[in-house]
Amino acid sequence: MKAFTYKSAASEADAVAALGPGAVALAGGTSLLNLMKERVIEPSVVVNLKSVAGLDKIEAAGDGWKIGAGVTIAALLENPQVVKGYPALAEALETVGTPQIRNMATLGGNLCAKTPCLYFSHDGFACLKRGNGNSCPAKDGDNEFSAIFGTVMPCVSVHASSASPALIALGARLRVAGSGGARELPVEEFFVLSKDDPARENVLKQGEIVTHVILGKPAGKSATYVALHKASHDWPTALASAALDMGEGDLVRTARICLGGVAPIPWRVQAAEAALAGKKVTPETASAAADAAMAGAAPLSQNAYKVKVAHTALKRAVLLAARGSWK
Amino acid sequence: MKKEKQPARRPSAKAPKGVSRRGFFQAMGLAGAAATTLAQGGCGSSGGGVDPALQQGVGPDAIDVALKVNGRDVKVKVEPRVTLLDALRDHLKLGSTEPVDLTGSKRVCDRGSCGACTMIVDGRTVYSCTVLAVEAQGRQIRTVEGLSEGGKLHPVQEEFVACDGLMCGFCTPGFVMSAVSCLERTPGATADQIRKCLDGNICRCGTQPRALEAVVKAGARMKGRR
Amino acid sequence: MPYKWPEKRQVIGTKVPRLDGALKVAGKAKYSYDRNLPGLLHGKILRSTVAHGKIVTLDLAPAEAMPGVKAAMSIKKVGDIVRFGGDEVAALAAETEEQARDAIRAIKVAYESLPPLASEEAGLERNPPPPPQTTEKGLKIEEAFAKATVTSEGFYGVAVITHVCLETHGLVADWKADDDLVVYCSTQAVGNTRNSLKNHGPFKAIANLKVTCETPFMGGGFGSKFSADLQGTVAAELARKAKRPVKLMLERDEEHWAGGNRPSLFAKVKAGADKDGKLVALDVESYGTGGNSTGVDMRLPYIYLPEGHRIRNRDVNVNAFNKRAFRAPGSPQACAVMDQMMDDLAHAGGWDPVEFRLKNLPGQGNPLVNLSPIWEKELKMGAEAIGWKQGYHKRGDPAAGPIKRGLGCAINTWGGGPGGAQASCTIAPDGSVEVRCGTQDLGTGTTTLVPIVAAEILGLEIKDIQGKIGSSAYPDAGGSGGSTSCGGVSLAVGVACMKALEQIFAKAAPALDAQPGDLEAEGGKVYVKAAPAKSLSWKQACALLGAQAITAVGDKADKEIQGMAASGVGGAQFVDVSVDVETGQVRVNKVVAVADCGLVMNRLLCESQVYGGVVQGLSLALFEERRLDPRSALMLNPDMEWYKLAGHSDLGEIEVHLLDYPERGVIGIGEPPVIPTQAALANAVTNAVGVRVGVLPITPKRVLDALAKK
Repeated sequence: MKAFTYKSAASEADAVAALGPGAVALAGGTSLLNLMKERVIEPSVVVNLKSVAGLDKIEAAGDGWKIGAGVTIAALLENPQVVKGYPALAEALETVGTPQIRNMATLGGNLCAKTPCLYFSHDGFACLKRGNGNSCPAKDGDNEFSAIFGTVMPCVSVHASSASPALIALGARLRVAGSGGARELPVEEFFVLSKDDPARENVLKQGEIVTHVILGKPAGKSATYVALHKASHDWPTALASAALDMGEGDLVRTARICLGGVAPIPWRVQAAEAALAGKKVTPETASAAADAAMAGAAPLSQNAYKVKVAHTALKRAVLLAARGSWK
Repeated sequence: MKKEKQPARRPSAKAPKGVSRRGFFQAMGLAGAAATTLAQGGCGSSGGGVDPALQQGVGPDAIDVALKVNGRDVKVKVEPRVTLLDALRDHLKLGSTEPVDLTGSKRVCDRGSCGACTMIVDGRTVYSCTVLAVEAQGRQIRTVEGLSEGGKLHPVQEEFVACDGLMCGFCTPGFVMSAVSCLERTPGATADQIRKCLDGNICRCGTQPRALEAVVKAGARMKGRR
Repeated sequence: MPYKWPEKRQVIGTKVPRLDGALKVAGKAKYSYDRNLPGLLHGKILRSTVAHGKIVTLDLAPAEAMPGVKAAMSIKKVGDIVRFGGDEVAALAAETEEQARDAIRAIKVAYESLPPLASEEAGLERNPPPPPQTTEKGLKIEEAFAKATVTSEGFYGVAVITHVCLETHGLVADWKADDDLVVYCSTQAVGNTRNSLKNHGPFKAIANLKVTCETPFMGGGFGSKFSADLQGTVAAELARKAKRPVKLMLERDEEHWAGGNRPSLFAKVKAGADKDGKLVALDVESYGTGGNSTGVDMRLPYIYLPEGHRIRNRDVNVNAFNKRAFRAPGSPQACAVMDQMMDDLAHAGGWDPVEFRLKNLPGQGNPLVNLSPIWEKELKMGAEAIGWKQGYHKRGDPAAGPIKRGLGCAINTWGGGPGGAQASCTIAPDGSVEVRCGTQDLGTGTTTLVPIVAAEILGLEIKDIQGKIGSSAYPDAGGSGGSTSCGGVSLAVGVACMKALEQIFAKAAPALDAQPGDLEAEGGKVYVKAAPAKSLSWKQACALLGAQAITAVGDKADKEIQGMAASGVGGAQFVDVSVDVETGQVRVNKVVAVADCGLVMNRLLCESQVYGGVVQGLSLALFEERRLDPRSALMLNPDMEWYKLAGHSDLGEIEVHLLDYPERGVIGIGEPPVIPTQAALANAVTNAVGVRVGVLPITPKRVLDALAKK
């Protein structure tokens, strides 16, 4: 780790002011400190956000909940309203890291974490996202764990966040604070896939921080299915979150489905959503929705297997949401 | 260790009613229904105000860091980049008012994956290799050494020895800390719950089956004592 | 009279919790990594960032000017070739570890890149290709196949894995004087570590150099820690330069790069059986890598011997660190090839895999013939315990739904036996006993073994014995490898204690009005065998020594031992898995391990070795793989996250059965139980999903790719 100046922010304004050029925000630290030890990121200033008053609170807001970005994964999983009201989110969070990581890592950190790509996250490789290379080494390198969607982009990493697909499926919003004040936007619009700036996964500008996640009224049925290699602790091979708004006769009125671990950003699959609209959820319709989603997949040399896994995750998430069991 | 407070809340082992538990993950250490809005942060969430010096910025040179370890105040002089683990293992005796050598927590992966450095901070297990010492100020830090102060082993430690839940022993302090925290937060934890509690700890010798047996036995003993 | 183990054993074979357990669980055991000596400096190594290249610039001056740096040295020089990512180039020591890391980055170094070999396949294709080494035995291969009525073909393999010792390699070097070096080294050979430092080039000229290696605790070796190694000699050189103690323990990535790895083995296999289900022919074309200049440890054909076989192997170089011994070198790979082949052949012939193995156990002409009754017993026990009769189905679980269940098995052997060892036993007139042995405890329980043996022989309790190991100052006992420590140490300690006891008997005999040969020591007493009432307490007997303590030395090379040790064990493992054919995820339901190690010395710790072998075997079978970037040959997963290791939830239920054959003496159990797990698991997966998934680790990719080809 390169030596740095450490600041504890007392307030949002404090944090925003401290996050000048060369500064990074520290939340749970479970991702950031590793990247700093690997010298992938070499900030001159580290701004601790956990000291910002109020960011560790889960508050009722209207029909829904306003969750501070500093709330830990463990705290969220211990909140009965969140677990009961938003199963897709809870089921995603359950597979994040290990007990220790869930005690440390925050929801805001999960949204903003950098990719676990083998090339990006280890020192020694010239990498487009890291900014020290002209091309993506995974593209024609070891891409077993890389993206299967969005692979026409210059970087084929997968996004780190397991919570984001659920938040997107649930239609959650984010509150972002910066020097010009605060703004709200749908989680989906937070993520960007930029051809010109592969280092970027989201819209945050210098000095901006995510302060809250805002969940609307618990409604409909939702679920997340996470496919893992190692059950004890692993990055998902693929995951899918689905939220279903059910109409009469058990027919799907609208569906929102988002995949994780398959693209440089959380990957919403509208083709699958459309395939389900107006249908009853059965293994066949769920599978057809997954087929529709996978039509857009473009796997790399070594990860065609992930198309099958993502297909399964999507199918099972939809079945879980609608019927409480995928079997 | 006696002096140190137990975790403030003793969460119920039962899942809240109506909660869907479809995954592998068993409800464990879930906060009771009373904990509605205030999340108890893991390592980090702030209790009171921020130290003006920290707000202003410290480092990159070494600074005095005051830590509360196993109920005792210790001081280390470290750069902000030094982790809690390294501070306690390597820097403590250099700057401490009370020379103690806390090398029980091990540095194995140094990347928050293996659990050999597990400490309990404010009642929660953390990877101390992935916490900055400077952020740990004001927190209640428990290390493996704190479990057996006065020479008497904790029931978890006794069962690890009796069941042979250890071989080379390098991962063992981390396992012990995860296990102690698990049983404190979830008295009467089932074997499945304990297995999940220990998933953040890696052993290379293959002690997992007997470590699990040890924690199950310790859990039964601890529950019986209540 | 030759020495032998007592017929009636009081301590040997019981369950004795490890004596250093309390220190370890309390965090009070001081490992090398934990040695913080006064004035300690922290050493770091500059490692190459290319896997193959020539050093064209190397300048330490900027690093020497960095804050806190007290000594620096080059390891390679300009013009030298680096051969793997992480190859050692230079080193330094500084006041703090952070300063040492900063200073390493200040060293000016540049490489001229040379083309790297990043995979076994790349190594095969190089010009010229590696020559095959061929062994042919028995019938000519064509004649052997002519006898076959059933044949099968398959491709099986095991990727390179790394040792991942939790305590990394390294040591703390402390020069007590110009000619007196003490090192605290994480090693499985205190004696050889001392020797490697004494014989280190720059130290050879030091007159009367005394080197002592102290290793009371060490955090895992698995075959990779038999000398001071380069980082050890570097630490000692830096410490000598700086005139301060230096700690140089590898960081995790360095441990992956240069701490040790196990060779890969990939094999195209054709095998044949006759109509009676006898294996008659085996033709193997294999390759594998042991790093940049070493090859595989070829152990094919493993256990089963056909009437004719041909093994054609190519040792392939890649730009990676050279192999180290890893728990049963060569055997897990050979077993993975052989026992998968056996399964495929049984499938081809329509035979039950357990029956097929029973039929093909070593017979006359196979050197392992004596183990066949053991395997027979183990296969039957294992099949019973896993529920083979009820649970086995022909290849491919017919159950509906994506979760398929399957059973598989494999068998193993290993030599073991007593390694070279010496020990001393000192008995003082006050009755205290100290046993010294220059062995070390890798977590296997040697610390506990020494007092067990001494207490048994001297008729005392374990608490009465001071066992001293983990120092090269004690009588040489060799490295802990090959499952030979338990045998060697048991013999050396046993013989030392028997010799010491003879001296006690000699003093006690007149007092008891008996001949020394008539005496026995048991239950804290020395008594006349024929008249047990005629006895002295241990203390009384020892008091007869007068003022002088006695010391006897035992050597396992002493000829007059009888049946105290042997070599050669058999083992069998059964695995029950569930495989999700839609995600490729494998879940272990249960493993049954039946293991044999002759005379069991400490049942509790012996069982732990078997559990450990199975756990490690499962981790290797499902998760572990060194990934080299196909372009640069740099390791992509030098961590403990993407280098995946099994956690609790990955293991399932593990059931251990130890067979007891006390009449065979001590054999050793460290390596054998890790051997068959991979093959047994691969067979279980194949039985579940219906297609051979032959290359380990069995990842979702390998399962789904195999199914896609179906």
